[in-house]
Amino acid sequence: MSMGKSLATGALALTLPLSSMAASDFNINGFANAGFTWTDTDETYVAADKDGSFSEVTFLGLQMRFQPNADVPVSFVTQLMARARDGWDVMADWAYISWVPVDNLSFNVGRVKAPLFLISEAYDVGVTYPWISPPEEIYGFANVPMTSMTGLSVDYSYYFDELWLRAQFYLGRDDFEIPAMGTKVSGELTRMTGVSLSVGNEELELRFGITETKFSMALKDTLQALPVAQQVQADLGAEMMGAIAGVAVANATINGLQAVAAGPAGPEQAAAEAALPAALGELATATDNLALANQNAVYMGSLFAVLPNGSGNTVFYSLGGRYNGDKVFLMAEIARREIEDVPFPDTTSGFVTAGYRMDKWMPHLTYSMVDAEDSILVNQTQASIIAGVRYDIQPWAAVKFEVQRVELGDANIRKYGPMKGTALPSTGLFNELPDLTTFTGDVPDSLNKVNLAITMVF
Amino acid sequence: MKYKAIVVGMLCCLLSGFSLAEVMVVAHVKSNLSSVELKALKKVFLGKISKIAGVSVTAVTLPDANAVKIEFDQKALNKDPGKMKAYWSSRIFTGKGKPLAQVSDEAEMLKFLAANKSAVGYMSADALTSNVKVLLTIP
Repeated sequence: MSMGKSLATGALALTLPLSSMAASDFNINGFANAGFTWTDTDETYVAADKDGSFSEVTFLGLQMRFQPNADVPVSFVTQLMARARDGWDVMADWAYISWVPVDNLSFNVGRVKAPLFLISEAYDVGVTYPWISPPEEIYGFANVPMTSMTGLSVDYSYYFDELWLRAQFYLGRDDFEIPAMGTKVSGELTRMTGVSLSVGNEELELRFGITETKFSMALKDTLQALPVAQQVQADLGAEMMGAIAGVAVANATINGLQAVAAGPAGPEQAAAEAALPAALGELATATDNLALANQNAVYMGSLFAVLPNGSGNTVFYSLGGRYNGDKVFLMAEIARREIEDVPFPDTTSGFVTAGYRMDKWMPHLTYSMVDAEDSILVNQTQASIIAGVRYDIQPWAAVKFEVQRVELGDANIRKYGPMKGTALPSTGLFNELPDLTTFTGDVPDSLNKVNLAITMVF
Repeated sequence: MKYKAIVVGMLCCLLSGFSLAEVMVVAHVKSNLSSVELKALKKVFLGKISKIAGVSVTAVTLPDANAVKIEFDQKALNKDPGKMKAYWSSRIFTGKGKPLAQVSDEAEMLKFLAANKSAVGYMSADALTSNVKVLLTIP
């Protein structure tokens, strides 16, 4: 032990005269993406519409890594992200202390990206994959509303001659916002636990992951506080008051007419008797209106009653593989999201991509889908075909162009809740991050999207 | 422009299947290593391990645009500049590792190797001096 240490100290002493940089170590690396997206729709799809958007795939990331002492395997790493989509607010997607006690074993404590799927951690690093961004159906915000967590991750790798094995375990928590019924609902990820196992060689990688998240969110309170919900409740209240007043007026009229009709015979008595059937008819109408108003109020009450105001549980399973050969690129992944105690749908999502490298060009084709089940509030079932090409301008920069065809899926039949038995049409990923001022939920059942971007690392 | 010429040259080399020159894997003259196997070297230069046969090593590389680096990466690591960049980007930005130590040219490589007993680097045969020990010749 002491010999090892003295050797290391010797090496350090040798290092010192060269420059002080060898004793401590500081690296800055970054990546950037700039892109433009068009769709042929009035409604915003993900983050773009037919006017085009600069913001969907435009962002900048800057990573700083500092190792105070070359002899101590502890580093401090911060990755700052600024996205056009978030108004260039700077956020730390990664901010952790890394301890690597021995080769192939590392402990990261702090804020890290949750490795839910095969390329979740590299989601923003465009030079590492062919598309402009990883397929939205599985990697998008609608499927996983949080990308980072604060906690601990342990990463262990084992290298055979050609083959390697890797296991990651992670535990953490986070705050998140989830899109629901045209708004964003804040929630808290109280505990996220996951494990990821992968095996591969230089070209092929297979991975299985399972992540359980326990969360809490005040969905009911948030939605009830929305102006639209308050308006609906106010309208319902007014309808109910109107119906009650209608019944009271009809009753008063009938009482008056009956009193006159029961009185001494004469023209007035005859007129009252003649008017009675019409008044009774008005009462019947007013009573129907009251029943309807009551039914609507009960319905609204039960709709809000079904919304959660507490904790839930989600489990993500995923199985993926990637082959990155000299010429051929193949990748496929399937993911399953199961949600308990909250009326968001279980989903099955996945994609298949094939690409072929020809010198600096790589044309690629992707089929990607998400299928929502048991949804009563939101149904995002859709499928996409993406045809794209990547052109490497430099080893560190690539231009990418894509056309995408999206078809929204069929309506779900609600299996429970106050609207049980009724159809819930798919809004696809139109509903991913909807603009509250314009989102109506009335969306076309297909769209075309064109995307051009440049991606680089430095 | 110079960079472009290197890239074009490299591509010609790849397409025709010819190699430019030998690349020598070198260490401090008093390194505890006397030789290195290509498989172990590969893991060290991909940042996967930091010990060869129980000896701690510090891998040193040349800048991305350096022709000797491009040659080394292709021959020893089987990665072209694009794949190399993608590989390191995915490691660096996803919490998997730190970049290797880098020096600006072969002269600096010699200085670094002379100053670090654990250092392992590479250079063209022309750049060799008696101050470094050759661990492997990559034809």
